[in-house]
Amino acid sequence: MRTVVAALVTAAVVGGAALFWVGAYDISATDQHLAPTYWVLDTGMRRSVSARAHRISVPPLDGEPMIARGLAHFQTHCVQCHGAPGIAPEPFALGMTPAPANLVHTGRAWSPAELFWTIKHGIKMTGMPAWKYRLDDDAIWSLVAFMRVLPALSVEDYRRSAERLAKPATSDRPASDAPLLPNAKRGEQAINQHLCATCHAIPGIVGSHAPVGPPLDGIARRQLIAGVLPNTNENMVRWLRAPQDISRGSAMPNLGITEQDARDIAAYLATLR
Amino acid sequence: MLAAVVPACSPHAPPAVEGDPEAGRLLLRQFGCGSCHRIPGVATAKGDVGPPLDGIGARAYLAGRLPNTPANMRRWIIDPRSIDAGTAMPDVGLTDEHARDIVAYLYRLR
Repeated sequence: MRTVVAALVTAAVVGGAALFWVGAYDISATDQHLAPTYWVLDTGMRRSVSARAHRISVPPLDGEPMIARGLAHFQTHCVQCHGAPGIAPEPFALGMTPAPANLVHTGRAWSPAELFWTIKHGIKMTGMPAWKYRLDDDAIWSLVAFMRVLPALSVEDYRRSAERLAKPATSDRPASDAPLLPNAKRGEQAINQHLCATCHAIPGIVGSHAPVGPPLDGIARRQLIAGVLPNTNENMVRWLRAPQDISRGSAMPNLGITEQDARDIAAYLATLR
Repeated sequence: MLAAVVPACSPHAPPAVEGDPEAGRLLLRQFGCGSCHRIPGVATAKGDVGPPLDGIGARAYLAGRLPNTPANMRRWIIDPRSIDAGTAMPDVGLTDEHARDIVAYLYRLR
């Protein structure tokens, strides 16, 4: 009996590995998930969000100005993928798998703490980004406040409210008025959140490591940044925040990195000796 | 117009590179490239002034700006300041033939 089980398990593992390797799994976004796969992924996602959200304390969410600010952010950052009453998502979002949720339903079904956590941290392997590095907590709470009102808005209500907005919201990047000591651990997260590993091989960062720019192993030992600037901590922060100011024509873009995030990233890079 | 600048190379099909890679490896030592760069296969090349050159043949950009083709790499190593005026990389006086051989070696580092 034991040998039969062992043989079956081995056959399953070998067969699974073979299917994996020959590319049998259809990765295309046009091939929908099997219903059980969808259930596992969706339920696992809800359980994970709920386990992480329950300790978040929710501020008052009723103020009219707060809801209006939330609508402005919603217009700038959410409608493109999620749509709104009477408004379809953009073409690129219509082709996404998993499909971006209809937030009228989410606003009814999810608690404010769950909405806040999800907007702030994003969800792996969906198109949902983490807004933590792009919006401060006040802006995210204003979005939550708006999403609680959203299910009650008719198409006409939504259209009129959106038109009344003076101007679309700009990205309120997290305030840097209370700077924290540079921290390599936070830097590691910030590196992921600014897609550094799509161009550089970086020890400790999982990613495509496409060799677009130079590999960063040993960057702490390197004497020059970009071949032009002495490699000091201050210079690294300057370079990360505005590469084009230091080396005009560099393919490295300005990623809108805050002072705090740049200091944290520099702290991480300083560990790569 | 853009079609004209598509390099005739991709990671799948390394471009045919003229020059003698073995001669290039010796030249890398002769011209002191290793005092600033780490270069696989060149034992004395342990410098940390510029970036390491492992994988340089597969790198997308040279000097962070110039699309990496054999011809562009020759331009870059012969006259770095013509590509990036502020670069610390010096013109070490390479001839066209030197550059061809060195590029032949560096393109093996993928």
